[in-house]
Parts: sequence; structure tokens; C-alpha cells
Amino acid sequence: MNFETNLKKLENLLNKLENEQTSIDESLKIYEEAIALSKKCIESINKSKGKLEILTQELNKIDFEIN
Amino acid sequence: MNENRQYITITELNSRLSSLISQDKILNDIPVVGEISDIKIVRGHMYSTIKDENSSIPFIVFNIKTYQYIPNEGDKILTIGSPNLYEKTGKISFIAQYVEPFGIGKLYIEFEQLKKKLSKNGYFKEIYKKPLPKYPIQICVVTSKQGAVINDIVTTIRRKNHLINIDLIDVAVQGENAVKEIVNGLKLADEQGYDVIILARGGGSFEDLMPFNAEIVAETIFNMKTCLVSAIGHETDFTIADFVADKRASTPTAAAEIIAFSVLDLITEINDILSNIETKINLKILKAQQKIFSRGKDIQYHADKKINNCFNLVNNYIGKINILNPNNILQKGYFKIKKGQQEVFSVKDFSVGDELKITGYDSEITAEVIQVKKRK
Repeated sequence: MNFETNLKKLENLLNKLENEQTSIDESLKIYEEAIALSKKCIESINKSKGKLEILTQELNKIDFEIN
Repeated sequence: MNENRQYITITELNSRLSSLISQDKILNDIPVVGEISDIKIVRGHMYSTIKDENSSIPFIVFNIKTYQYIPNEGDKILTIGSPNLYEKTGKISFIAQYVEPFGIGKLYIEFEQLKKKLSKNGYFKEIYKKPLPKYPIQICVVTSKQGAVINDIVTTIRRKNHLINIDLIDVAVQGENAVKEIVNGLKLADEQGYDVIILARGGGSFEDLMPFNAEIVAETIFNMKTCLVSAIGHETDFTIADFVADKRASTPTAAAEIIAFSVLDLITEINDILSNIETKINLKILKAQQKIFSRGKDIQYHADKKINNCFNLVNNYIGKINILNPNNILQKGYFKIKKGQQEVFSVKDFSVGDELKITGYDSEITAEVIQVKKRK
């Protein structure tokens, strides 16, 4: 699942949490889910960041000298 | 005449001389050759002197403008006319009825006349001159195979260039067949698709060079498709062919010099061009690389920004979620109450004696309902 979908899901969970009608039990479940999802999002960001770093290094490594 | 008189008057003398001259059959309508000088034109008549090495006589042409040929100072001419004594002064002049240029003078005047005519018809105009090819490989020399001309040309070309192919079309360059052979030779060469044709002849007298002053030779050159270089006579000789040719060389050797490109120079030139191209390409590559690099940096910046935005977004959610952590509520002193497995919300959910399960931050309590009252 991609980052944007996860983010959207996170927003939904937040809305549910904010809803007064949501029971404590349910809130706990939602909370758990939200934490897991947040972790996923952070992981996916970190992965992208790592990839970007590697690519940046490669960009800097390109030799622009001629002859 | 008065019989007693011992003399005659001047008028009578001149009248008698005048009639003697005009009645002399030998002196009337005779062709005379001489050189013209001291020309004066007065009221349309030409007054001058005609002379040879030893003698001279006043020479008059009436209405000179009606003549096709008007003599110039120093021209050798052939004239037909008669001597005439002007009775008033006793002066004898030659009155011409006909004049034409004579000898080399004649050839020269014909040359000038043809030059004038061809020039007027545009034969010498720059716009009709074909450019000399820079690197001719197939060339043809139209000249006589006798004489030094062809040898001079080949030697000069070979000194600079061993690649040029030199053909010869052998033609008479003087004498009665020369004009015809030159015209045919040029036409033949023109059909073969040569890069350039040289029309050449060694030095000679003005008369020797006359075939190159023929109108038909000029016309042939003018109508050629191939670039023609003329190299006729010495440096000081100019023929009509020289004026019509696309390029005039002063001598056959000079023509060879003009045409032959140096193979060594060409190789150097090509190398220069190649290295120039290489430099330009390298510069282009460098520029492209710099552009790519700077684009790469832009992309990196935007990607960083995007990732940071995502990070902030998620962090924002995490913060909000943390605030809503149900445990936080319990920590604040709130308790969660359940009746059996059932969640309870309203006064209707409670009855006296119900057993309730109460969960706190760090406790689990079982309690019984003692009183139920609706809040106001």
C-alpha cells in the first residue's frame, strides 16, 4: 500500500478517534491501528529518504571532467 | 587670257593646278595607306595629317560621324579618295571618301570593336562567371600538344598535387584551323563533365593570338557549363577569350598554380576542421552535463522537501493520535465502566444492583449500583 493511501487511512482513524460516539474499546483498537500505520508511514518515508541519499551520492559521483 | 599680258594671276594659277590635279586619272580615287595624326574635328569634319616615314599631306574626311570607323591619333589606315587643291590658299589636301583600319592596326581595331560589342552584350559580366572549384580532380587542358604549355601545366600541378587527373585535347592554337579546332575542343571538353577546363597557349605576336579573339570562340566560352580558366600568351597579353573566361591566368603556369590545390594543405585543413568540431562537441557535452547536474540538484532539493513534508504530515497525525490515546484519558482520572460485556453510556443502561466492571489507569474494580438518578 502506498504512502498516500496510508495517510488517508490515518486521517480516517483520527476522525474516528475524535468522534465522541466511539467507545473506549474501539478507540483503543483504532489507536493501536493508527500507531501501526504511523510506523508504516515513517518506515516508508525513511526508505524513500535512504534511496534519495544513495541517488544524491551517485549524482555527486558523476565525473564531469572531460579528457 | 590677254595676249599682251606676260603673266597669269594667282587665281588663274591655282585654278589651272586644281584642274590638272582633278583631271589626273592616277591621282583620283586612289587607295592610299598612311598614319593619321593631328586630328581636329571642326563642324563634323575631320581635319588631320596622313603620313609615312618621309612625307605627309593634310587629310580631310567630311562628315566623319557618318563613317563606321573613326580613325584615332596614330592609326594606320587605308583610305580611298583624291587630292584636292584649295584654290584660295593653294594648299593641297587629300579628301577621303572611304577609310578603314590597316594591318595590325586593323586587327587591333577589330579587336576593340568586338570587345566593345561583347561587353555591351554582357559577355564579361561578373554574374556570369562560374566560381573556380576549390578542389578540382578532373581537369582538361585545351591546347596544342606541341610546345611547352602542356608540360609546364603538368609539372606545376604535380609539384603540389598527385591526385588531379589531367587530360589534354590537342588543338591548333594558330593558323587558319585554329578557331574551328579551339571551338570544337572546348565543346568536347565541356561535355565530359570536367571540374575545370584550361584554355592555354604560349606567348606569341598579336596576330598569333588572333584565334583567341574570334567572336565564335567568345560565344563558345560564354555558353560553357564548365568553369574555364584562360591562360593565353604572356602576362601583358589580353585576348577576348581572357575577358569571357571565368578566370584569367596570366600564363599557363599561373593557371596551373591557381587550379592545383595542395594535398598537404588540404589534409591540414581537414584536421583543423575535425579538431574544431571535437572542441565544439566537448563544450556541448560539458554544458549538457552541467545542466543535468544542476537539474539533478533541483530534483534532489524537491525530493528532500517532499519527504520532509510527508514526515511532518505523519508526525502531525501521530501527535494528534497521541493526544487521543484512550489511556491518556484514564490517566487524567477517568474510568471506563462496563456492565458484563456491554458498554454503558446512558442512565437507561443502569439498574440498582447491577454489577459493574470499572477499569482505571492502574486498576480493575468490581462494583454494585446502589442508586440510579438522571442528571438534571
